[in-house]
Amino acid sequence: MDCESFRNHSLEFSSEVLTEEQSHSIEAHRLGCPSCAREASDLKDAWKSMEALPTTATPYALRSGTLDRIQDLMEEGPADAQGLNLGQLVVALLSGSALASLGLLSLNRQLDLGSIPLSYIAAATTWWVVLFALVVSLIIGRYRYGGLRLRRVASIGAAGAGIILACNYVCPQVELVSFWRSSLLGELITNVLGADVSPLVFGGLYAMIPTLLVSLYFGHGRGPQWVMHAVSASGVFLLLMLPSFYIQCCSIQFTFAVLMTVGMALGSLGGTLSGLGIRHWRGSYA
Amino acid sequence: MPVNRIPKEMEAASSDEILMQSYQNGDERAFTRLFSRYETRLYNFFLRRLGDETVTADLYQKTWLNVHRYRERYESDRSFRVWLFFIAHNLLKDEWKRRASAAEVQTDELPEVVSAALKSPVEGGLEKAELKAVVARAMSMLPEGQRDILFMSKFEGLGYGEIGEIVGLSIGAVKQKAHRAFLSLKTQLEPYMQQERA
Repeated sequence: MDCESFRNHSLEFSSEVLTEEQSHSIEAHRLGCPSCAREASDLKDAWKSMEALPTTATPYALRSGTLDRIQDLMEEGPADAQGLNLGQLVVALLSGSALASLGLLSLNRQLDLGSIPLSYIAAATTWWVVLFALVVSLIIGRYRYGGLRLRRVASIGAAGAGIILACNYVCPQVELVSFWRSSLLGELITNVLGADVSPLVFGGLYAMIPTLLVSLYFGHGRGPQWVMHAVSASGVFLLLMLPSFYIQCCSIQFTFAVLMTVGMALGSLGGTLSGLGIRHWRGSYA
Repeated sequence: MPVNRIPKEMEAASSDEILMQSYQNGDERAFTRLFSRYETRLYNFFLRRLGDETVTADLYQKTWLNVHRYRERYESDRSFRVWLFFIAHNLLKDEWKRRASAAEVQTDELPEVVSAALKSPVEGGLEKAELKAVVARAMSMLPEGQRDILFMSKFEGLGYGEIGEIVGLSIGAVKQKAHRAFLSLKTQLEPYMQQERA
């Protein structure tokens, strides 16, 4: 390669777009020609300096706003996806029946359902099936109400309730509270407070942990509406847990059920507020 | 709508095209991954060419909304990167047309980012800063089409074939334009280099 030919390729060489073979050929000439070596070096510096043209980070508000808008569009779904078809309705009813079964199994581990009138249990079961089918239909149907992402709100409530009922089957809350009451620390706290608040505390913890976790996963934390999302999700969760409280109130453990209900209300509110608050603070998307 | 999620362990290594397919099936996380991969490049794609943050923000958002709106039209045998910048380039062309019709284009005015580069400090002293300024000015002197190709090649990391798909030219035509751009750049840099040699 001569100097003329080198000059014709020197810019391509400096921008590193030549093939390996071409680069070798140019490199060979460059090593033997100080003048061309200097030119190549200058051009390479020049081309490299172009890389220093500033790369600007996307402004946070723009990034977040764009993701929000697309998320809104995704949750609205295509026009023909609005509403439920027969298959989705069946899925919703089956899910409702599954949760009702899980709820009954879970309660049967801590209560003697045989002592409760059958009509009460039937009412609670129907209540569960209808409520949960409604919540699942919100998840499938991708409806929105105002600024509320009903799909996410319903997902938090449903997942939280499902987790609690499953946990309650493995470790019934009544047994946990009994164990706590008989412990030295439990007795000490009861004596200091002058009242047994164990159902309140454990109800709160039982509700707070799953709602916190599912809020972190399903939640929509950005924007000014995150508090409304948290309160609504907590409301859905409590609605799904109501049949359980109803059956417990029908049993002899009325005070226990009331305290636990209050505890769960506070716990679920605290859990969803914390979960969505963390997401709001982090501005994360998924 | 059925959602075929990508397993988490595979997600990090997934190609754009697999992520896009998953997104077409309703996986929101796949979209977030694609968004994270390209958001800075796309933002700078507009900012470098327009130098106007407000218009850049508008076109940036429109591009992503179009990706969502027309996601069903994306064919998986096509490169997602090319498809994304094809959408962006079309929006950019519309913006140039709008500006031209509004007689807003002032050809003697340097793009804002290039101007900023001329002013920004450079490590390595005056010599380097001067070199950078000369290059930035030389880039700004290139015809829009040639500069666009150099930007796409340099900053968007696109190959000449991909650039051809985006701007609607054959690979040969793109290479020819790129070659002219290199020569123009070289001509612009020549006085500086002679001065350096002297």
